[in-house]
Amino acid sequence: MLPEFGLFFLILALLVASLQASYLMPAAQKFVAPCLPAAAWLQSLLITLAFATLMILRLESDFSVINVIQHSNLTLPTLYKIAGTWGNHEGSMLLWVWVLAVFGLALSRSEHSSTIQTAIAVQALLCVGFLLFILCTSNPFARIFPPMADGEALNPLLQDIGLAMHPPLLYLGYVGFSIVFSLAVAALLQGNMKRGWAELVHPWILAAWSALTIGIGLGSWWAYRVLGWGGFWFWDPVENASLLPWLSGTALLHSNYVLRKRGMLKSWVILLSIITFGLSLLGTFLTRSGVLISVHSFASDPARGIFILGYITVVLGGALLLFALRAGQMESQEKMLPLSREGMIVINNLFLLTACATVLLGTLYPMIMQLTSGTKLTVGAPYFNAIALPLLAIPLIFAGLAPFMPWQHAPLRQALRQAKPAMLAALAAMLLVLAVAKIKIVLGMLGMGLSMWLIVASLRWLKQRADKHLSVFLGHFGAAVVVAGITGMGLWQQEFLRPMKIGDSTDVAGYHAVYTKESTVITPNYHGWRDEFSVSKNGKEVAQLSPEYRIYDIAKSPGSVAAVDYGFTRDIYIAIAPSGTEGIVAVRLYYNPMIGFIWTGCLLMAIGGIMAIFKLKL
Amino acid sequence: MKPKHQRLIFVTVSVLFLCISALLTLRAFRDNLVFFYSPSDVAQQHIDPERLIRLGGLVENGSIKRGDDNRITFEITDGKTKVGVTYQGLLPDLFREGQGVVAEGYMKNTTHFAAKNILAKHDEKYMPREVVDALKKSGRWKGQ
Repeated sequence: MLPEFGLFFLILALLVASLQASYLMPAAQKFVAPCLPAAAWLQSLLITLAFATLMILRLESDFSVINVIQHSNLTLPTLYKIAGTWGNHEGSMLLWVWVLAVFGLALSRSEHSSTIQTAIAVQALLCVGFLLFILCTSNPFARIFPPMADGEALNPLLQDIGLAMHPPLLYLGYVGFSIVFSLAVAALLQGNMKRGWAELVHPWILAAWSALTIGIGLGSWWAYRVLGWGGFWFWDPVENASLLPWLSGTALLHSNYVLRKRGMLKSWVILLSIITFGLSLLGTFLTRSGVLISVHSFASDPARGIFILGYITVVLGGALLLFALRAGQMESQEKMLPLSREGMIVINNLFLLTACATVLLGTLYPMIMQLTSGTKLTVGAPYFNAIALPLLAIPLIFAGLAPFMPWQHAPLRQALRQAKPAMLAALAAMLLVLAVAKIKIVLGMLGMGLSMWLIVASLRWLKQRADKHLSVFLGHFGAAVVVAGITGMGLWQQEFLRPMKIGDSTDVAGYHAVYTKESTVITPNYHGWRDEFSVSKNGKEVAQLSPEYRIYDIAKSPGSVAAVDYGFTRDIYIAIAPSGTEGIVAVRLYYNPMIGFIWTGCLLMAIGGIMAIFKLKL
Repeated sequence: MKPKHQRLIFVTVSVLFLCISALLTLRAFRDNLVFFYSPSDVAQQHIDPERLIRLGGLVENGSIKRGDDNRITFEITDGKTKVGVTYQGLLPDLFREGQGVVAEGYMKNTTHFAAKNILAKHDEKYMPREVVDALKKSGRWKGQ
């Protein structure tokens, strides 16, 4: 019975969402308006119940439900029975729509104005589309008869805490932008932007952006630990899909700041809101339609892909059409000079969006080529590195300078004078790299110089501010820390492969690693080996590392769990694999300089964003 | 400087930047397209030995030979044609005989491929999508 209840909740939710959305019809407005708050509660409750139902079905291992059979089994640890709820297509779509509904509820809790009511209705319309998608193409409660005795495997790569937390955070980000989108569409529908609109979207942009920042960071951390390749970013389409809305979201965050303070860029902010949510939808499409796994499997079972694509077309097309019709009415008459804080922000916006467009091109081109001409190709990582990285470096130079520039009109000389310590620090960092680095000196100088410039500029800016507004500082400082991490890791990572037997030792960037012990691991879920390594530097032991090599019994597939000694300036990373010869194991060792800076920086940026929501000060 | 002039400079500079970045983008884009081939493809077409390509198929059973210094040779097959591959370096966990593999590198001649990189691409079914397509083409695909 339980699965049918789940389905029933979803159908009821669809009806409630349709009721909410009917507010958009002028004739129904009067009747629907009083019901909106109650409907928002009911809507969230119903979807929560549906989500809980799926989770219970997984916990109880009800193998009459296809979703449970395909993505769970009796030996799976409880944590992954729960986390696996959103680790598969149907469940993750349910999570998507759940966040959509809960955010709609949160929006309906703010003071009711016509803008809010319209936005709730738009949000409900988005919900209707997604619920239809789930009910028509991805029913999580579909059953088979007779029931199975046990389920299939959850992809072993997904059995990790990083990936258990990664999708919910990413979705908080993706779907958070839906509120911004709904408010933007509401403003367009009303034909003008009400006073206080920018303040209204402000916390939503920040919340979505912060969640997305952490989500991307976590995804990257997961790839680092689980894929066993010691890297943190591969320019994989799935990764790019999350980066795209982040880039345009960053632009939106800054433009909305101009809108709040100066009342300018109204239509630009609206457009960015639409684009950012559009890119969030695109990210969902890329990861959920199967188009990345195989263009052919997408073409042979196109229902899901076509539905999402249709959804994107309707949502984005409708919003852009509305924008084209209405945006002209809301431009302000204020003049903008490039040499001012707002001017700098606009320039930065252009660079961020250009970077976004180049990443989009590289991500979609292979798919389009394969669909249209059948040619199979990939766009190599060097393209992204050569294009997107410089395009993103330029806004970071401005990010150091812009906070020193007043609104409206700023004498450049004065700002440069204020930024002098930062310039000197950048120069010092470059000279240091020149003195210390042995390879990739020029790129290293640029990266570290940029990072140091932004770090010192942010610190100096913080010192000048009387109100110690930490959020801007943390945002920029975090970005600088990420730059340092990417530079260090990208340029000076060292990797070694050594076939080793017990007692063998090897030297890695000044560290001495000895293979000390081998043991077998057997759990209900997998079996494998755990090898122990003692890592020392200058005769002193630094760490005991025990990487594992596992065979997941049900999936019959291998997976390695790297052992990492996390450090402030470097990680020592060891992964093992069978060498093919008895008694010898293939050991991968990595010396990863400054990689921790990348996650730390992401976290700092996100904390900055969250602090700004609550207007926290030091 | 009058605001009008400032705006003119602003627009000019932006357009200039845009053009330069578009130019650089397209150049880098063209240079970094990596085409995918199956063993049958490389046997039939002449492939520039200077050009980085991807070669995908199954690792031929019994073809893996390990040498010193992590040197390894094996064959990639699509059921019709085999191509010998040499590689030195790290192998992904999922590299096994009879399994799908994608190698990135250069065709030395029509039967020898020097791999720079063995890719650890994987999806839920542990089969690189290019390999699935290549196998379907040669008629050896047994999955769905």
